[in-house]
Amino acid sequence: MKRKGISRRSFVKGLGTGTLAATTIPTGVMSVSSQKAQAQAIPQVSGPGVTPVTLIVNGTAHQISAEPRETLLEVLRNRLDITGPKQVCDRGACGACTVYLNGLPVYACMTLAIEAQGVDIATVEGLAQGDQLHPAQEAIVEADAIQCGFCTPGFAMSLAAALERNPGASHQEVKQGLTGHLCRCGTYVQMDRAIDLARQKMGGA
Amino acid sequence: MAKQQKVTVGHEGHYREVTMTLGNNDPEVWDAEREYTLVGKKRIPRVDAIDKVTGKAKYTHDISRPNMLYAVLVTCPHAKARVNAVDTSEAKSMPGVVLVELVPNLRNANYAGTVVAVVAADTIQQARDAARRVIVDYEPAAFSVIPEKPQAPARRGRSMKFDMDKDVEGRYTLPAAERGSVDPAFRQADAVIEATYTTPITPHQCWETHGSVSEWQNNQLTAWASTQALWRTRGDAASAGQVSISQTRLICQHMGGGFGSKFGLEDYDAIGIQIAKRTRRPVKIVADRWVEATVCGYKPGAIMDVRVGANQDGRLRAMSLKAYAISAQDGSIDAPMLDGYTCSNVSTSTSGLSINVVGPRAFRAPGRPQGTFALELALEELAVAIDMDPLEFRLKNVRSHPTDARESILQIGAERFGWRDKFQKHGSSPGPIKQGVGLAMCTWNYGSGANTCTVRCTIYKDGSVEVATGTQDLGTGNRTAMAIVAAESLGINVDRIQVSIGDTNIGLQAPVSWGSISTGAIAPAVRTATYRAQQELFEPIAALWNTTADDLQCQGGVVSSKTNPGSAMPWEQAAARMTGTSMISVMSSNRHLNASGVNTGAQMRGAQFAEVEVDIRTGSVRCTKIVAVHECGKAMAQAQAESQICGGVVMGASYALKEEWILDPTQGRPLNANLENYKILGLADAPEIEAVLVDVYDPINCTCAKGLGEPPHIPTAAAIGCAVYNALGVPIRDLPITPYKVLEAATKGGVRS
Repeated sequence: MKRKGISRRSFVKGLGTGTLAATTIPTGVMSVSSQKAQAQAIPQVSGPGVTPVTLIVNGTAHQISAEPRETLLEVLRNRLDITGPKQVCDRGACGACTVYLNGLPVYACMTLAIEAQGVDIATVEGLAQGDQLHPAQEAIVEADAIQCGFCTPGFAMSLAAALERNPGASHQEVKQGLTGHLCRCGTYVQMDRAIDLARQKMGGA
Repeated sequence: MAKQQKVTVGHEGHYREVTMTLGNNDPEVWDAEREYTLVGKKRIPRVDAIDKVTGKAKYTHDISRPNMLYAVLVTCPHAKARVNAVDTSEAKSMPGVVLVELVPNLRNANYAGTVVAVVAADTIQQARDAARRVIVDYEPAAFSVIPEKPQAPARRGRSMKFDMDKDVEGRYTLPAAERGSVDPAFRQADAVIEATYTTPITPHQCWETHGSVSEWQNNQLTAWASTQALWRTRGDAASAGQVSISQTRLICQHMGGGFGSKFGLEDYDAIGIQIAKRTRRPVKIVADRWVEATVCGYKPGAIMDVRVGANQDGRLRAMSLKAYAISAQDGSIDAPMLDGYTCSNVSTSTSGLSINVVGPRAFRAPGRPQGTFALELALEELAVAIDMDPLEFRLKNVRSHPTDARESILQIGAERFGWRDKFQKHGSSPGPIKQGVGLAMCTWNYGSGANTCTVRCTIYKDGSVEVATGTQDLGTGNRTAMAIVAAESLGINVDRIQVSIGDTNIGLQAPVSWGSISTGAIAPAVRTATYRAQQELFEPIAALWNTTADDLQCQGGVVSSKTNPGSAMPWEQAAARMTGTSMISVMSSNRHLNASGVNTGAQMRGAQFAEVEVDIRTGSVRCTKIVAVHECGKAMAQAQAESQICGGVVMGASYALKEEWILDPTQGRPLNANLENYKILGLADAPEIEAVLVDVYDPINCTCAKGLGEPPHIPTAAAIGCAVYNALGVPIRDLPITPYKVLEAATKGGVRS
């Protein structure tokens, strides 16, 4: 039977390796759009063993093998060594693993990696432009809304997303955008200040 | 050789001068007269903030080594069971599985979550699959997860499982468990309150779960662990790997919270180290959320029988506490009866009620938040009984000391909070949403930082400076405090200071981060090392200017002569003048100072004022505002100290209103070992918090720094408990104050809208 697009066999063959090791192909080698096209062509039924997965993270395409049951968070952390998103509750309660899929914040612990193919994935590592922090990150630093820092990447991602979506958002609206996050050290007072600082920096206040 | 310094000690409105004798090589004591440039003046962002906000900070969870194995735990599902046999044959044949190790000599499991075996595989998924195929033959036995008070009287005295190192001067020694004679005093008191107060078990729920990565290379062990105790954990790792301590390196650059639960390796970490040794592959073993909540410790629950009695004039006559800690074993509950109030007749006792759960661990002021809740709510009830304003009642009875700021702290708090305007009689709030206010005192006896800390200060030829010690930063801000103290001491910018911590290869011991002792130990060591290194740097410049090194100073990055302001040069130029070497490196330890008749010891004071809204239709309680006034001697890092206060308050409000570990009485298993059903306070629930730091110059060391990690968590639940009582007019003596309890109390107490 001949399938359109790319078969699992040809995909693995194309990689030139049958191992589980992650390989990273810079976008220059294979364009992001062609990566997306290939990813979308992957058959709907896969697994239960390892299967080829293509993820575009912070603008770089990664072709790896992972099991269909692996969460995006597990693949980012364990197979791609992208450790900014943290594993805390692992059940969509705390927000520490927040990443963007096509610009929208989602819990990476509640998303399967295979579901995240063909979209742009952004992690906290991609939030700053080089050394220039995103205003949301600057605000968190300046307001000292950090203690242990384990929840910080998640808060930074949602604070940035809330203001990118609506730079004129009110304090309450931005706060609403952060209610999916918990902090065990209790930096909420400082986070409240960070919200206002970020709003000022992004021109909304 | 000795020199004398006139030191201004005390606090606002109560300053006085004392003369202290210091070694010739010792830095002067930072006192109330000093003109500070950074300490207490500026809010400095954390020196590791950018690493944390960009995801670059590497925690133990984030360590990945080539060819690393993932280890997963097999845990017992029964609250009590005999372990007859373990069959690992199927698990061992599963794909990717490298090794299945049994916990040695395990005959009995005494709590759900008891670790039975560890499975190591190429991927975490393979390890999880195999862990499910480990077949354990359990023989379940009768268990108890519902605590019951024993009939026999509780043991007298107070036990401290937590082996806090003792201060040389015995300053940590707690007062005797008894003074005076309570029974006759209760008989003579005009009013007596006698009631039972209860608090729940609450796990620490560290965001970064307990775990480690271990790697062997040429018989040298390197381990990464999320720990509050770098050096103890290194010792644990060495003994687990059966290798000498000198061949063991422990790294903890960043850690995601500890709160008292991370003082060494877990038993399963030790098995991970052994697996790494046998397989010659690095092993990563981190608790999942269920294991973190179930196996890695908790604050013991408590049942506290309290009696307090006073005269009509408000003078406390007698107080007694019989406390029972709810835990797997003995755990001590500690109400500040002896050290908090001037009451001549006090009796306290504490003992443990054993249930089938894992052992308790230190949790942010062990025993105190429980005991403070019981005592302060009982005192509130007593104040109502004698019809006295609860603030006046506390003021009348606080235990004072000449340099103790406790009375000032209460007055400052009352003013900031607006107590005298806000306080209404208990139960007088009209309508369905009742307003209430409450206050509670905080006393904690640790935190003097008497434990030894050694810091190395290195000044390089380009003027950059490194300060290093083997401490760890739990998130409290140790790194930042070190940078600020070094910059203040040297008179240069914070950004010239590099701080190195979190690695035993640094070779300089710092204390365990417990008992709020870190800052009080590290700050004077940093101050001393930087001072002495700078004196050494000054020598050739002093010779150039025909003066002595102690005539030189550095302020705002400019080195100058105190006696001849014309002699000046930039710091960088001074550093460049070092000859015959490219760096000046000095190691110094902290030293405990004793100014006779001045030191209050390490007792840290505080008071918190809470405002709540209680909706008697839904039972929901909103804590809307907390004013938290604390002292930590002199705060070294202003922003981070304020953050410690706010963090302690948030955790305390969470303890008061949300947190409760629920054990299924039929199965003995936890029902909420996660973060969706174990509720903690969220951003939208958090009260407005005003953190107020009162400077108390108590020259126990050359910086007057004391700790602050634990105290802010002590009185919050008590203050909220009092405020809820004030709102309803009926006390709720059982934490957490959930809607069900509010509705029940309102119904029983006939509270009307």
